[in-house]
Amino acid sequence: MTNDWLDELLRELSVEAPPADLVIRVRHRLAKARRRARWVSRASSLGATGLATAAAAILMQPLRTVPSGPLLGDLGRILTAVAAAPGTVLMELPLQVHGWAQTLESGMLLTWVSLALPAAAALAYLLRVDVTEDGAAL
Amino acid sequence: MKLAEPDDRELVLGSRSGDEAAFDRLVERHTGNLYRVARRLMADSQEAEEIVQEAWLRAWRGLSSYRVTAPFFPWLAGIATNAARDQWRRRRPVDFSDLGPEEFPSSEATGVPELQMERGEVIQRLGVAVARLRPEQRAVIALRYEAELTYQEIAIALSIPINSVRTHLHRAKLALRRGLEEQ
Repeated sequence: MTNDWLDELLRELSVEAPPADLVIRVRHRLAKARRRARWVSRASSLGATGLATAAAAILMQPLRTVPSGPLLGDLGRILTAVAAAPGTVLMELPLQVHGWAQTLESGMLLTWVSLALPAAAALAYLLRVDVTEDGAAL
Repeated sequence: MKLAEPDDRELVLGSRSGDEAAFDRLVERHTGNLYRVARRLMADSQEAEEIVQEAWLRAWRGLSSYRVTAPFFPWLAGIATNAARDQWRRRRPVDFSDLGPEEFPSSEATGVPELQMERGEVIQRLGVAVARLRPEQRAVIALRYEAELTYQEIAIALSIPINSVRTHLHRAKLALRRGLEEQ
């Protein structure tokens, strides 16, 4: 008898067969986990939507009193200016945005940021490309 | 006309795209083998079932980390072994890379054991001896002989160097031979 003998015996060594309903039980547990994951996902989406709506509602009220800024001004006038002198408009844009932001109350600025961050995250999520580890896009 | 059965890679890619049936098909395909590995690792069938269920849950959650170019079962077996290790940790710490105290094989131990028993009895005693092995040695035995993984696949599954796999296996066999001779 050699090591091969032990190898042979170890291969022959059998454990009892899996319970007949094990696959079904695994599937049930997975189904439960999937349901929970879906519920959490929906709850998160609802929560985010609720927050965004609340933030928008808060924002809309004082926005009426805010002087028109580069984002709220006459779009046609802005487009004309961009077409005429794009370089100048581009140079002035940061100053205009800065001036407009200064007219906002700090709470409102916070509201804008709280709206912009989830929007940017959602955009990034929509634009993402899943890539497998062997380099293939899914 | 019967459609060709999708391979593991196709099923994994399908699962990642949200096809739940594809993952269920993987469960159907590999649960038997996974149970055999888990049963070798754990003391009783109930614990083994728990490990199988936990391994599938972890696999589902971590499917994005699986490299589709690698075979699926070694990855899954590695998850099951880690789940078993978590169970063992509750009793005592287990480190697969810990090779334990050095055991120098004696010439007697590497020689041919003279066992005067029936084959059935030898197998029965071998089962008892395997159950008494250190957890990390039992893990290597389970992956090698139940899951039929290569040394390289075992090394990946347990996240240890291939030489540690060889050492665990060598020492496990020594312990088994001694166990058989002593019984």
